Amino acid sequence: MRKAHTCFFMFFLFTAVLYAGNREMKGSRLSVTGGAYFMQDEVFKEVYGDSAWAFYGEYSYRLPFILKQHIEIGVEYRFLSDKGKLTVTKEEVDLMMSDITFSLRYLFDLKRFIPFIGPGLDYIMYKEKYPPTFPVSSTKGSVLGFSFQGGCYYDFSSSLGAKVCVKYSHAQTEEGEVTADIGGIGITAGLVFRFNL
Amino acid sequence: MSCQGCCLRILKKPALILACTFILSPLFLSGSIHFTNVTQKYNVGGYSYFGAHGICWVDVNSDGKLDLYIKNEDAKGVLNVENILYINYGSIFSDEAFLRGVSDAYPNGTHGAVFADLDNDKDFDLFSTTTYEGISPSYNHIYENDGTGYFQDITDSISPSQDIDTFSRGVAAADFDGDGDIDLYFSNPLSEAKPFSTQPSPPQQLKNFYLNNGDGTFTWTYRGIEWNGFVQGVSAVDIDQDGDIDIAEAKWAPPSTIYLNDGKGYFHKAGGSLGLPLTINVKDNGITFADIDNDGDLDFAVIGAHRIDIYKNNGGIFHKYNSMSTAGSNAGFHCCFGDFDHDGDLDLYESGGYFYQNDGQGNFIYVSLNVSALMASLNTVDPRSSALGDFDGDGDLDIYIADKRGYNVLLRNDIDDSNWIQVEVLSDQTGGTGGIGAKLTLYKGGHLGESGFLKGFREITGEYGYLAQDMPAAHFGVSQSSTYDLKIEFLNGEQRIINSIVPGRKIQTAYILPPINFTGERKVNRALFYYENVIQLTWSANPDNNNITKYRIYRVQQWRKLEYIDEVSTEDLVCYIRDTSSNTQYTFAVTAVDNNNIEGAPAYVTVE
Repeated sequence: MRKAHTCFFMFFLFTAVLYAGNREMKGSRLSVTGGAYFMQDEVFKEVYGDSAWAFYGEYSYRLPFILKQHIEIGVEYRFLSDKGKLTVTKEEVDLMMSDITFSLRYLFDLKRFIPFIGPGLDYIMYKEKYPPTFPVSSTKGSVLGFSFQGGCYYDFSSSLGAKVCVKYSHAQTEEGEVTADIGGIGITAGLVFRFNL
Repeated sequence: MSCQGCCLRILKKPALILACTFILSPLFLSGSIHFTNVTQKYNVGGYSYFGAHGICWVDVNSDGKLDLYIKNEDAKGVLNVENILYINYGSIFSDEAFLRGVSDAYPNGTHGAVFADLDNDKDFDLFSTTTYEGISPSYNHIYENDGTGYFQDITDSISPSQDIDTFSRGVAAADFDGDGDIDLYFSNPLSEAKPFSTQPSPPQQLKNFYLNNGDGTFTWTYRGIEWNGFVQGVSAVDIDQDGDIDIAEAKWAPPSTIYLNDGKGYFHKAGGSLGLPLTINVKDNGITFADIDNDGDLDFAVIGAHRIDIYKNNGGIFHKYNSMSTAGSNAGFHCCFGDFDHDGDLDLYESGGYFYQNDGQGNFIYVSLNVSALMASLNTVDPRSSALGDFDGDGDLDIYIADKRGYNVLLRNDIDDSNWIQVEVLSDQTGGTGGIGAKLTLYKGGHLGESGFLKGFREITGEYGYLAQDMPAAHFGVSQSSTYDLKIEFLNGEQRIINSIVPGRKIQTAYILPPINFTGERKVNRALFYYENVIQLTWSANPDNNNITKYRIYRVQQWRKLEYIDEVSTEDLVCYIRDTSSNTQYTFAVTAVDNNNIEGAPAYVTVE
C-alpha cells in the first residue's frame, strides 16, 4: 500500500510540473460515458450478477510537449450502484462504489481515430447496505488500486467526439474476515467534448 | 381360545373360580397373560402412609417415556399428603411432584385428576381436585405445563373464583362444547364432607364445569348434570356415537347413569332410555367403556358392590350381558380393558383382583393364578384404581395399581412379541395433543371400512372408570400375519386413514400432519463485504393436509420445549435461522397451521 501511495504522489507531481511549464499547448477533453463493470469477485457475481452498470465522468488533458503531444493525463470519477440478493436468504442488498482514477495515456493520432493506452491509479470508495435482519446494517470502506486501460477517441468535429474504453483494474480489500476482489473489467462508451482551457 | 370360552362364560362364585383354576389352568398356559411385579425394581410403591386412589399414565416432560401420577388422599391421619409424580428415567422412576409443582398437597388430598392439553400447546396440563372433609379451603386446581414437565398453578384463571369447597371424585376432560379446546367436568361440587348418603330432592343444579374459553381462562358453570347423589368414577366418551362427548357416572345412592351431550355442551340424563338399570342403593365405583366384542361400538362395565356387570351395546341400547363377582372381599372400584395377550380382543382386569381373557365374543374367562402372576394383584390391601400404560416401551400393556392401605403395585406385562400396534395422536382437532375423543378403528389390510374385517375399535379418553387415566395412545393386539388399515376419526368428524400398517410399530398421527421432507442445513449467507452463518430449514407441504395457511417454526429446547421463532406463508416453505453457533447442535420443529388457526403436529430436525 505504501508503494501505491508513493507512485500516486510521484505521478501527481510529474503531471503538475509538466502542466506548469506548457500552458500554450493545452488541449482538454471532458468525457461522459457509461457502461458495464464486470467485477471479478465470485461472491459479487453471486450477489449482484455478472456485471453492474457504471457511469463515468472524466477530465483529460493532452500534455503539449511530451513525445510530440502523444501523452494525456486524466482524472476520472466513476459511480456504480447496484441491487443484489444475499446468497442464501435472497434478501436485498445495495452496493455503491465511487472511484477516482488518475491515469496517464499514450495517444496514437490516426486522424479522427485516436487510440490510447495507459496505466492508472484508483482510489475506490464503497458502501454496502444490508437488510435489517442482517447482523450489521452496512459496510463502508475505501482502497487503492491499479488499473490499465485501452480505448479510442473518435473526433466528429474539433469540439465533439466519442470515446470507447476498456479498463482493467485490480483492487483487493479486507473487511473483517472477508477479502473482496473488487477489481474487474469495465467497458464504457460515451461522448467527448473538446475545449481549450 | 373361543372353544375354551364356551366352557367358562359366566363365573360368579369365588369357589367355582378357584376350582376352575386348578382344573383348567393348563389350557391357558401358552400365549396367555403373564405379568411380573416390578414395583421394587422401579421404586414406585408410593408412600409408606399410603392413601393412593387414582392413577394417570402420561408423558409430562415429552421425553417419549410414560411418567406416572398418583392421586393420594389423606391417610392414617396424615394431612396435606402430596400426590406423586414418578418421572420415568428408563431404569428407575423418581418422584418429582414437589419439584415440578404438582404435589397438590391440600388437607384431605386428591381423588380425581386428569392430564389434558388445556392450552393446545402440545403438552399435558393437569386438572386436580381436592377432597373436602371439613378443612377449608378445598378447591380444585389447574396446573399449566411449561412443556418441560414443570407446572405452574393457574387456578386463578377460573372465573368466577371458587368460593366453595368440593368433595370431588371423578373428573372428565374433553371438548364438550365443540369449540376447539378441552373443557373440564368434576363430580360432587358441594361443600359437604362425605356426602355418601345424601339424596337431595329435587336434585341440585350445581356448577360443575370449567368451560375453557380458549384464552387461558375458564368459566365455572352448570351444564345440565345435576347432583342427585354421591358420584365416584366418571367416564367421558361418545356413548351415542353422535360426534360429541357424553358423560357417564358411577354413583352410590342413585343408579349410575349416562348424560348425553347435545353437541353444544349441554347435557341431559339418558341412562334409563339407553338401557341402564334404574336400581337404587347399589354402590357403583367405576364405569368403563370399551368395545369388548369388536363390533365398532362402545360397551361398558360397571363395578362396585362386589360385582362387575358387563353391558353390551346393541344399536345404541345397552343390555346387561354378563356379571362377575369381584375378587375376595373387594367391593370393586375399577376395571379396565386391554388386549394383554395380543390376541385381538380386549381382556378385562379388575383392579386388585383377577384377569379375564376375552374369547373374542365379549365373553370373559378367568385367568388362573399360576399363569398370570396375580398374587401381587390379589395381595393388595385396599385396591382402588389401576391404569394401563406401556412404561417400558416394549409394545404391551403394563398395569399400575393404586392401593389405599398398602403399597402400590407395578405389574410388567411379560409378553414378548410384535403382535401389537400402538397409535398416538400427536395433535387433534383442537390443535392440542392427546387426541381425547378421537376414535380409532383398525381393519385388516385392504379391507378398510368392512365390518367383517374390523380388528379393533378404541376411543381415546381422559380419566375413566374409577380415577384412572391410561396412556394417551391406543393399543391393539394383532396377528403378525397381516398388515392393517387404520381409520382415525376426530371429534369434528374429520378422518385420517393410514394404510398397510405392519405390526410391532407405534404409529403417530395427527389431525394436521407434520410437514414432510423437513431438513436443516448450515449455510453461509454472503454479501460482498460481510457474511453470516445461517441454518436453512426447508420442508414440503404434507399432501394429506387441507387448508393450510401458514407454518410455524420453533427451536426445540431441552425436554422438547418449543420456543417460537417465526411464521412463514405456504409459499415459502423455508426459514433461515440466524445468530447460530457453528459448533452447537440445534433441533428445530415446524408445524402446519390451518385456516381455523389449528396447529398440527410438529416435524423435527436436528442440525449437527
